[in-house]
Amino acid sequence: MNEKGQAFTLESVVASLLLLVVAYFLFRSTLLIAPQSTQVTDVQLSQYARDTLRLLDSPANSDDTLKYTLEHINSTYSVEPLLNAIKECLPKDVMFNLDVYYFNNTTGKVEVYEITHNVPTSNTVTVSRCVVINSNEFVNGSPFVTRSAESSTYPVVLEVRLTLWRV
Amino acid sequence: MIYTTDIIMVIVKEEKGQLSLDVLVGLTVFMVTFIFILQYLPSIFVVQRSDISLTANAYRVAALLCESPGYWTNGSYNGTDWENHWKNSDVTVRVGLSNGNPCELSIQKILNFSELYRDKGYDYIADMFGIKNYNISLQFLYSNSSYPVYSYYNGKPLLLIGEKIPEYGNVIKFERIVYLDNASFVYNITTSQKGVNRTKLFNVTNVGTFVFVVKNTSLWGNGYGSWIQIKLSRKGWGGPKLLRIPSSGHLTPGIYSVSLPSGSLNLTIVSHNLAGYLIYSTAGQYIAGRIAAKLVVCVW
Repeated sequence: MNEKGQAFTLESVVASLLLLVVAYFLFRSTLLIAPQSTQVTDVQLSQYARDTLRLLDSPANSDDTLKYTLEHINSTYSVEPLLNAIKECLPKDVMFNLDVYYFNNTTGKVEVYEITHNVPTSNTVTVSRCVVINSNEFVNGSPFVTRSAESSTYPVVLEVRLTLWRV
Repeated sequence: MIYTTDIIMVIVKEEKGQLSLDVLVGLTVFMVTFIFILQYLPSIFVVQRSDISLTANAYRVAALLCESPGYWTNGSYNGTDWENHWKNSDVTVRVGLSNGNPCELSIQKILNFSELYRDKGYDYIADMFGIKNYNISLQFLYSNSSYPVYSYYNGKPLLLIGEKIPEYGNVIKFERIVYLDNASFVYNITTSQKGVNRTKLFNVTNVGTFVFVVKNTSLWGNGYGSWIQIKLSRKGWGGPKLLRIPSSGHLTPGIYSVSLPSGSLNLTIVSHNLAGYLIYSTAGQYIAGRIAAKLVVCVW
């Protein structure tokens, strides 16, 4: 049996394996990540959210501002003016959810008051803005005033979170 | 003894110049792996698509315009009121439109920016921001690429500079929601005497925001309640009633926005038995007590 030439196959297999191993380690160790096009659209969405919250955090005594709505929220208040204002700011192909996070002194936990209940897609962007309101400015029945036997006013910090996604 | 057949057999078994199967198989395996690596390797490095790098430019220009008040210097002095100094020959400026609060734009800075563009030219602005081709404008929030609605001020576009946006190629748009100071006109529509209406005449030629802010109604208790009427005419004044607020019944305190048809219009506004004012603006929409618009930056 003539075994001339067997070494050629073995050499090429070893060389191929060496190339693959080097490429594998190179890929694992690289810190350079190519930017994806989805990150670009996320930047625009988050900017829409940030600018919208900044616009609506206005000192005007108007029912479509953040402060006015948060002060008047109770079981009977309609938040339609604020929601309509948000819809006016955003493009037609963008949906949103609006939630308010606050500290409940009774339970000792941070709780959430959901203003909208839309179902988001898997690709969303969330931006938050803090609003500080004195406790005596809230209406009766407000979910954000949780210190029951408090005679003096105290600041209530609310975190408003706006979540956006494209449809 | 050496026989001829032995010698012939040796000559027939000579293998010089032939390619064995092992060499071919080995070569094939190696070449396939090498070509695979050649195609795979470039993808692990940064490949910057031109439209992704353009987005960074558009974002940067929009951020500088919206969040910065700008800057000027002549080597000895400097400041942020570049709108008062850009006409001086020894001054270098970087334009910013903010009046100090992020995304609150100054009308004076915007008007000076437009004038700077007309005076210094397209390339001056391009060099200032480090971009090549651009179109920068202020538009209404509901404006879109197919149907752009520009903000107007005193009958002219408030901000519309740069080249026409090409219909083909990589064009990147970045938008910022802003609000404008001193971009609206406020008119008193409070009625002064019982039974007397207050009339306001308006001529509008551009899309505008009409917002009636009614503070108090049924001022004089004459039993007829309060209302606002808008009469429309293309020529002269008066004309048929376009709108009554409310459409029936009595008006209650609140904020009422009105949409009007486009084109040149003469409006006669009649208010009855109420206290309030009219906010009119052609620069943007009235949201949260502010005139809001969007700054659109397109680069390619």
